[in-house]
Amino acid sequence: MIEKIIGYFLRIGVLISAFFFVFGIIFSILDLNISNLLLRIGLLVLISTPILRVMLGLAIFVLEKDKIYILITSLVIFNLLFALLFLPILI
Amino acid sequence: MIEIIILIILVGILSGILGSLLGLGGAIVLIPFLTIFLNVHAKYAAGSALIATIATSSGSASAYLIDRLANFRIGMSLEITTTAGAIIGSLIAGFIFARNLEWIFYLLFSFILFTSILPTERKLDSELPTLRNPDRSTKIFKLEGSYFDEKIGKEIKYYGVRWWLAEFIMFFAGIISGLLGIGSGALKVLALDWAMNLPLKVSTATSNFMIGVTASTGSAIYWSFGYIEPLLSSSAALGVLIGSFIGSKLIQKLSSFELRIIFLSILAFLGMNMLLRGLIAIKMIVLSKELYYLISIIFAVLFAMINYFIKKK
Repeated sequence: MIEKIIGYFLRIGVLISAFFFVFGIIFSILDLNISNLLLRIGLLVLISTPILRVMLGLAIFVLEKDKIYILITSLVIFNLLFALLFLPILI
Repeated sequence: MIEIIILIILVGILSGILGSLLGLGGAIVLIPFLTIFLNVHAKYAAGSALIATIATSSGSASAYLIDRLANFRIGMSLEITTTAGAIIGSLIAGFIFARNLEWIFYLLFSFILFTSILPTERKLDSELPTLRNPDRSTKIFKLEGSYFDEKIGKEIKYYGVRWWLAEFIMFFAGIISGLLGIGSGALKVLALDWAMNLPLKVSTATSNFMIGVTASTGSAIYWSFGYIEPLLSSSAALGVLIGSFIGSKLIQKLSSFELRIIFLSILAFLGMNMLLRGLIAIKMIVLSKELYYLISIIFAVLFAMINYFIKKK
């Protein structure tokens, strides 16, 4: 069950970014200004999909009251937030 | 320009197929192609490979989760150390490269890859791993599941053991990917296949599921450094998404034996590549980039062929 929810979530993320990539690439070839914005949105959606799926995982584990996996997923989220927010400043 | 974009998409498809079959990010295909054939600067090639890794992961894991090949709990539980390792790897990267110490990691990584070839080769004889008794970690972390193997034609039940050992290897995989931007997929498959004793298809599918998170960990740094060139990485990512879709259907048509032969050749390729890079870094040998990739490819192909003909029944 949990696998299916996360699986479909990833699929939606992938389809949204693919949509932006296709139009971004076509507009780049046609040399339209909007292309760069579309490509960047596609990339941001792609990058945030795995991060959001970890958070969705936490929500599911909370609903299932799976204590050990609530702890595990929280640790992963802590690492992810650290890497995304503090690492670029530290380096 | 349109020809180059189509070429990048095609190479992305190839990298996506290989990546989704073997649980790798595809940097192994993309980086040499972009730097050698298209003369892309190494940092933009690395940025595209990072994006391609996320695309491979999300693209194939979406199919693998729905088909029950990837195990959500096993993947999730091992992401603690792999993300921690990736953070430490990127923190020490500046220190390592400023002092020209990267050869230590090249040689260490190469050593691990070569030593992992033997146990991986031994498993060529059996389509599924010999069952080990479940240990305490199996129970505590619920490391079990089942999937339908189309090639064998029946439901396969499995469970994972030696969670701590797998966590340790994942930590090292994280450091390598934070440091060098590559290689974490191969090590992840080893941790799942060798340490946890999972069926190979479950290992590569679960590795695929995991590499996206490891790559996302590094993405903020790459993005802030400006290493992610939008058109280049989007074209590669689009190709990879198509490729990973093909690969995730193809895996059910292949036997574990065939998959393992391809995986072994990747281990041989990466092992040789890292060995040569290490030797170049300490100035023991002088080789151009084209040449050390060529040597690694020839070595990997020969190695795969020898294995195939010796073990084929």
